[in-house]
Amino acid sequence: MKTQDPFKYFRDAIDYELEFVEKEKSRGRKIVGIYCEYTPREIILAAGAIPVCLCGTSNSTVAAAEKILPSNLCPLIKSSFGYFITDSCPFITMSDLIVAETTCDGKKKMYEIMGQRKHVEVLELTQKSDSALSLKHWVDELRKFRKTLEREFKVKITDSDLRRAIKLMNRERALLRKAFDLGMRNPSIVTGLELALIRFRVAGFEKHLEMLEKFISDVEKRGKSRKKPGGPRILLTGCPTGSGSGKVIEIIEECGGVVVVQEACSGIKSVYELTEEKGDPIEAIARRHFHLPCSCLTPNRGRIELIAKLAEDFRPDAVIDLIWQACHTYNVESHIVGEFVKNRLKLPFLKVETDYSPSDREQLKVRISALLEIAGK
Amino acid sequence: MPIQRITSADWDAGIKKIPESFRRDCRYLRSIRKGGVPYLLSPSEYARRGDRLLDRLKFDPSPAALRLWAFIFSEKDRLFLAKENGWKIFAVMKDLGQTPVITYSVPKSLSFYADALWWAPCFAENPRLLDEAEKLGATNELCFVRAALGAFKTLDYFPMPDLCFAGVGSCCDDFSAVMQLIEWQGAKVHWWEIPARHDRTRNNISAKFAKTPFGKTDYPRRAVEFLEKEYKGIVKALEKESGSRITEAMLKDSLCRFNRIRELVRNLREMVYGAEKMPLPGLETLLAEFIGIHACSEPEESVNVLECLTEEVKKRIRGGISPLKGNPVRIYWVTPPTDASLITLLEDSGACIAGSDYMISHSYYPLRTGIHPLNAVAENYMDDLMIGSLEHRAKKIVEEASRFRADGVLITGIFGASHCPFEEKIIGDMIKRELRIPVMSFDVPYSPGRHSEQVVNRMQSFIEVVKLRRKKR
Repeated sequence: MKTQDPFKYFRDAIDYELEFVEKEKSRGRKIVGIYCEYTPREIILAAGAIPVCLCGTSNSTVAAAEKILPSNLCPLIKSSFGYFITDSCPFITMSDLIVAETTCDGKKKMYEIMGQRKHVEVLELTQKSDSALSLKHWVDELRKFRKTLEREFKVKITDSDLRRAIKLMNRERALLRKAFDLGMRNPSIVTGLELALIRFRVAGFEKHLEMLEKFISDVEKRGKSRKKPGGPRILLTGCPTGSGSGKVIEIIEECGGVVVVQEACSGIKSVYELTEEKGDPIEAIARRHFHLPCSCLTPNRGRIELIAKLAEDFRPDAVIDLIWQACHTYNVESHIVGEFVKNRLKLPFLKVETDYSPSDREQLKVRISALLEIAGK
Repeated sequence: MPIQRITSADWDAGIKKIPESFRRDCRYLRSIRKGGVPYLLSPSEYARRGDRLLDRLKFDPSPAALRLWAFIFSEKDRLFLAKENGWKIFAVMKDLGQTPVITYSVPKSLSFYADALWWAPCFAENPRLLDEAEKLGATNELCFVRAALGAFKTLDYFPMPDLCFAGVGSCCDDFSAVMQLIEWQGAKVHWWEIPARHDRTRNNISAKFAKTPFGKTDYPRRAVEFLEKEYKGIVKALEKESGSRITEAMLKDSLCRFNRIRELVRNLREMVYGAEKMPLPGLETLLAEFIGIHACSEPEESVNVLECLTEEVKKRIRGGISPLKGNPVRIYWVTPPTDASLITLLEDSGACIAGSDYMISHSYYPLRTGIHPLNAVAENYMDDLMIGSLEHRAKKIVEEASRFRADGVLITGIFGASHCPFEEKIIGDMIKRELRIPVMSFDVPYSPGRHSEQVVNRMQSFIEVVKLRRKKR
């Protein structure tokens, strides 16, 4: 451990993660690349492997992806695919297996192309979240996945292994949730940019958990010394952000607002609920996933319920819906979210559609400043 | 006697020469109104009623083809008439070909595909439905199926359905999202899920696979088991809505009726695309293919329309007659064009359509009899090229393009359709590699009242390339 400052640690987290993954790989541990919150990290951990998130969040690989893919695709897919085809992500190179889910059309087709070069295991995520039949199908997929890992990695995954992994992931998610809940304080004691730092790539990494605890305690200490209130409080919803794709959070905070909560899989959404530690572990894992209200689920009624709950707890002054260009599902749902926010929550609402490039920063600044002006009244 | 394609104005004059005996047969919904409702009107009449593009197209000159056009364009009249007479109206969405087999087991009901409204703005040469959809959150970054949302708002094209059946799952995120907005507007929706069809790969070695009897597609058995359960949910929803029990016999009757329609479409398609001299223009073949998915809200008359067209095609094949001039190059068309006038443009440029993958090819295959009808519908759905891997779709296209002796392949993408951007290049690459024939792909723009210059230039240049390549061969 080179630093005890959690903010610096998480800023440089990728270096620690690389070091850790390389070391574990050399010891014979398997590495599993993942692209989505629906991936059952618990099963991967129970198999003794390390799940590493490969989602692309950098604009730098988009151009390479566009040599194969058309430009009218979402930047997350293009960035991820760009890393893949340019072999520029060491985690991809180290991955023994890539696990994917049938979430959106873009990702599904990307996995198909990736599958021509690397072993990609696609789990069929059913999309009717309120259906018992769909849930059963997803449970069966996870059972099949357990067998696949046993076969591929030549291990036996017991229920006890799974329960241990559930406990570990619950600990990780509970800490993340605790950190995100710090945004409830009014005036705010933590910024959206700081909270964005703690979405790391490698799951079940003990050092991360230690530093998360330190992050929480350091931020809590600020509470006592905070004197002046922050700017307008923003609930950011929609597509996920990451290191290199956090420009909207940056702009909000540059303009004087503060992102108190992010309803996205890069924010509180993915850690809002923990996995049941009793009962059939596979069913418990599947059930938790099914409660994640991503726009790839249809109908996705859970998202409105979650936004309502977050609005109650975090008391935002406005809501911003971030849509990555060509992400159809979030784009269309934005209308429903907007109507709900304006008519039911009675809050100002702004839909921001953009990509990873910095070219529209100034335009976004003007729009976001105007929203903050309205929200701050 | 030589024939050629004609315009809507030509039909205004020609329609008077159609014998009364033929005209008398062209009637729909005989079970609602005694003797049925006559519908054989000239395309220009339907153009005056709103579908203005009809005045820019070229049509086959036969009464059988006119009957086809008039039947398709009178669909909305049927829907409103049925609703006025107390019939149930069901909107089906996304699966293209399967749910209507089930919904038509309900007596006194009509079903239509709300997705079919994607053509409406182009045919109307009017963006009204798109504008309405935009106001409701479906912007111009989405596929033209967003017009369905606009149509739910305006109710210009259909009355408010008693129940909508919305399929979600394996494909078309854009339309899944649009369907949510349709529900948000107050439409009553029964949601059901379409499982993905995984290929037989090393990752699936533990899964039990089977093969569809007609399309010969590998599928995991559990996908069909899942689908059958979802179809049972549809039956329950129909029973609740209609207040009557749906028996296996009722489902079988509906299945048999659709099998007759599918058989007619399949045979017609084989005859047309397989012929040396193209007996029917591309537009008429396209319309006939689309009757297969939902019988255009009138299964009984659909059969009559298709039988009539089949007779005309047989006659032409026997006589070596074609409405297209010279020896047009043969083009296999992938994904239906939003703008139907592109087919007229292609034919005017010296080509013909010899084969198509309009994303509904599963609906030409017969539904198996001798098993439970819901099982048969589910099994047949596994032949849908949209619910599985792109590689599988591309292979099927290559096979058909080769079988129909295509000289070139045209892929018309749909801007905003979530599956399209990935497909065009992969399909194109496989065709070039396997068949070594020219391929062109482009997204069809919305340009009401005229063709986009870019599209005209590209289409004409492509046809020239195909002609030159054929000469060299």
